[in-house]
Amino acid sequence: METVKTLDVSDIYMLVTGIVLGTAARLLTLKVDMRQIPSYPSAYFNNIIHGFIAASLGAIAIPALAAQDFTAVTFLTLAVTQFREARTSEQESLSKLEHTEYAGRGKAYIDGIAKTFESRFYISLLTALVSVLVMKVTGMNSIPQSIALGVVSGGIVIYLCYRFTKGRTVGQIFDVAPGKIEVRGSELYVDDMFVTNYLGTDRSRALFEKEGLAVVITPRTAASRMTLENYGQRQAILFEAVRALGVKRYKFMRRHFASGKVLIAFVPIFRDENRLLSAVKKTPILENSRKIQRIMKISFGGRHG
Amino acid sequence: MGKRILVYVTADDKRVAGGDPLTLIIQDRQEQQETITELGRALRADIVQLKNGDYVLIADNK
Repeated sequence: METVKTLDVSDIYMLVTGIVLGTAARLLTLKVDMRQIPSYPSAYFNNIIHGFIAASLGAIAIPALAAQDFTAVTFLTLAVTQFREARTSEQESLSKLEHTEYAGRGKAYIDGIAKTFESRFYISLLTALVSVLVMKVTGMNSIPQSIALGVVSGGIVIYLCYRFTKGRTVGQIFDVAPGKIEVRGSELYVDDMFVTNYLGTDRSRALFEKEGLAVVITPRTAASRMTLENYGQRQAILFEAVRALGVKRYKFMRRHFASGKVLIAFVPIFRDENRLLSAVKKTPILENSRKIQRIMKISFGGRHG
Repeated sequence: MGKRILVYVTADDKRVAGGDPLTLIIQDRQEQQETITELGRALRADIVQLKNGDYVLIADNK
């Protein structure tokens, strides 16, 4: 309470600016698209509130330290604990929903989503903290000028953090194309590559020939093939593909060992090829499947590392 | 996660050598199709037709 008493008007507008910018950072990084993560409106709202709390903690830290209230550092540790808790609860929530989906997201994808959520809260906190710090350090007398400086510095932090944490998508490193479905007896082929022999009945063969959709994902380089071969990554792609269109019956994913291509075939509820391609292309590349050449070349711990 | 054979359907009784899965000998092709479809639905299993014409009902090993 001691700290609150020492706050003057200049601290108040700094705090408000920091909180607004931090919350705005969460809003700007919060996308509701075809992936529907976070779900709308409940999880969307929860994230905004979390962003607001993160921004508040970040904004309060500098004035509190300036007032020689060094316990303010505990605010930041509190924030870290809170964000980690948000990540864990997101993981638990998505894991519990695994059996209700057309195809499971898989542990790798869930981990990636939860980590992204956590990192976005840090962006909120950092944005608020840096903007308040800049306003405090420059100590401008003009309030509008000080706020403008805070907005600019906050904007730079948002841009840099977002750029640093933003991952790539399947469409950026793989070629994604529609596949030609062919049924030979009880075997299903996509672009002349074997997928399955589970089409044992005439009904299933007719269904696939009439309504089936297939997509072929081709790695452009050896490094990108390593990413595509990662089971978690393939599971994430399958999840996004079938989630975008729904599954009426059957869903198959197959690796073609000779070419490194991955084939996905299923009978969708909405038969929309463009939507399927778009869903696959927009699937994020998971951090744990990503192979960065620059980092792979580094030899850790000496020549033999 | 492995797979297991639930039912084997054949028209040739010489192919039945014993073993764990239920093996049905059905001569009529139409009846084979209908039986395997009904069993597949009831057991929520996948149906594979081998090149020799026999049917296999396969399910995940949960």
